[in-house]
Amino acid sequence: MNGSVDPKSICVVVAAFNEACVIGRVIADLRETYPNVVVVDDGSSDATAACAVAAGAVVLRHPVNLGQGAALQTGIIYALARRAAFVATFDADGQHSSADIARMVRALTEHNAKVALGSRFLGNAVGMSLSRRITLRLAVLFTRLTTGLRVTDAHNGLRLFTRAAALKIRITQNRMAHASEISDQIVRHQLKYIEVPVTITYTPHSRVKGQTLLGAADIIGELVLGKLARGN
Amino acid sequence: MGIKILLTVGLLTFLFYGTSQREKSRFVFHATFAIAAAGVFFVWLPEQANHLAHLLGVGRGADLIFYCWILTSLIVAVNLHVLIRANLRLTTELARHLALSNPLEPPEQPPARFAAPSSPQYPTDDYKGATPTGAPPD
Repeated sequence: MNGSVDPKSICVVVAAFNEACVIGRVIADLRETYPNVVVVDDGSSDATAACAVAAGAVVLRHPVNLGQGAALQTGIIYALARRAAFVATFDADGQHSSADIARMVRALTEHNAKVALGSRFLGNAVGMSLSRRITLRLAVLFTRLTTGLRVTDAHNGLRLFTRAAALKIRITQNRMAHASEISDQIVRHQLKYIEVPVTITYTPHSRVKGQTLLGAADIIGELVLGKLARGN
Repeated sequence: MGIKILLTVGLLTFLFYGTSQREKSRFVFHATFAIAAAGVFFVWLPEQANHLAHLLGVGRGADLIFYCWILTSLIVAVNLHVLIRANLRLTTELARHLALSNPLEPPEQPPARFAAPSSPQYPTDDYKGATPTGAPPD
């Protein structure tokens, strides 16, 4: 399915916060192809961890809610410690398609790239609202202006890193600003990247959890204050 | 007169706080000393605030002090935010260490074992990340 790449060499990292109603289905779907799925339960108050374990994932539990960026970094550290050759990040809300991971692996190996970034604007975005489309387009503009990364989708949770790339990425932005931070680090470490068309299917559940314009303003604030803090 | 004494006591208390922080941060100590000294000076000699304001092109001494207060408040707010972020970093490391130390494995399934990287372009080096000691052994 993934060409010459063994699915066992891929670790899929899923950051989850109060996703008990969908996480079981997401994990079961992933595990049909990828046996190594790690769910980082980011301080959920529902049965997310129990549902994920029952579905066959390894679960790491943050005792408190830290944010998606922190959860992804925890999962990436675990995957690297387990000697994964590839690390994929995958949203827990069921809006991604597991079939896209295979496409990303193929694209990565064919182009000898280090990072594959999913793009809903090159692929399909089923059920995306106009306000969400505007917000994401502004995020793309912001990413291009601040990092120089020529991407068409700056906040897509579906990514694939080679081990070499994952070793270099350090997510310090705990919350949603991590997506811009990853873009920044791809440029800083000169990691060869490709964008791969993927399908995002919005559901009533995933719509509630997505970014808004106000959220985008928060992200800009987090990035600016994060830079100030590092400079301190 | 009463308000002047009250303000002076407040500023001297502020100075006492700054002095207690001198071992932790020389900047905080010097800044509080300067602010308290200037405050006491202008409380007792308000006409000097007007004089200084005119020198700096501000209409009134009260306006000058108000602008300085806004600037000082912003600096304090940013400084507090930076301190909070530093504490959050520590919390994150702690939470991550706990999470990596206690993975929940699915029932009736051996611990995750990944196929070793087969291509030479993917290094097999051990990860030397922030909290690798918390990760379970290979």
